[in-house]
Amino acid sequence: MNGPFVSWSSGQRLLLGVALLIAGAVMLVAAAGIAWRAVQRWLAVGELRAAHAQLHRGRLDEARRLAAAAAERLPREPSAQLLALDPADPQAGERLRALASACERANDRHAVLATLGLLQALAGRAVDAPLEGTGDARLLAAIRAAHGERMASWRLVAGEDPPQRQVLLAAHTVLLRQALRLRSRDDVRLHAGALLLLDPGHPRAALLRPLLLALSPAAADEELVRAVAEAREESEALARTIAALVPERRAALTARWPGLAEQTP
Amino acid sequence: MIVCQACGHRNPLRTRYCHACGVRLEANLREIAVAVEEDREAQMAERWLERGRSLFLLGAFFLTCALVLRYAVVPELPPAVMPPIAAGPLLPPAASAP
Ligand SMILES: [Zn+2]
Repeated sequence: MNGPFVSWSSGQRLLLGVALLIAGAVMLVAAAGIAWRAVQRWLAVGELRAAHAQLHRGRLDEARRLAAAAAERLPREPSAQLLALDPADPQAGERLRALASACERANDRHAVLATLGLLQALAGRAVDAPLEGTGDARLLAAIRAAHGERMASWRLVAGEDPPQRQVLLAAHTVLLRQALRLRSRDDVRLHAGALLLLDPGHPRAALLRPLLLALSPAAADEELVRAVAEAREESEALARTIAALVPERRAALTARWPGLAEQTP
Repeated sequence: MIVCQACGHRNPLRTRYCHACGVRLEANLREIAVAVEEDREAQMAERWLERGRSLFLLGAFFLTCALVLRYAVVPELPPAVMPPIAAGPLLPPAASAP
């Protein structure tokens, strides 16, 4: 190295050499750290994409396993942590709160808060997740109100953030249960239809379709009985629910499941 | 270095005539010994400078590669999606049916 350093003394050149050596070593260590994290991030992106694909196919366990692997690589990334979260974990609330404060993207933060709010609403607790001005807040209020004797409902307001799909699914499920309990045919039709519309491959589709068939005047009794029988071990409970909801179908269902006669009024 | 007795110019080791004024240099043994020692130090400094420069360039190259990998090659993380959360059974419990 000559040029600008030609007039420097030996001591100065030695010092410069040592300084460059230290700077070079620091840069190498930093490069190794950045490269390692970049590779971990790359692998996590692949795992998360695979997890989302598994989720769409309804393979929840596999999706959660992949998301957990990504979450281990990126302990502070909400997109990995949220999908890996076990809703049954008693620490889930605290973990979600910590995750929400670490979110950099507004959409990620909304998804984390909606998860927290949904867990609170399903547990019957007050929702303290800040979701004001979003469709999710209205849905969560409807879920909490669904324990009462008056049919809960909500309206989506134009200009509000659209609700999260999982919150919408949970709200329709809870309100369907309330509609069946209160024997409100219109609400059963509304919520069962919405669940099938939101998720055509719904895991409980075998229960949802007969409910809609029972309420359809065009469907024959034989068709309904066949559909109820497809619910297998839940057939009898389903038949009992339908018989209570649509008394004009009771005779056809009792002929197939005689147990209904003595068990339902 | 051998200092010229006439003009004071500092000439490199193994120089017979002053590079500045051309006078024949008269170096004594002590001066030669000092000059040899200075030359040795200069060579050592040169070696360290060379090593430092090599490692600095290597570090800068790998740091650039790592930054390109992290910010240009690795794709963005997908947005966070809520995990499926069970909302309980679909059918109300038979006991609570009105
Ligand atoms: Zn001279």
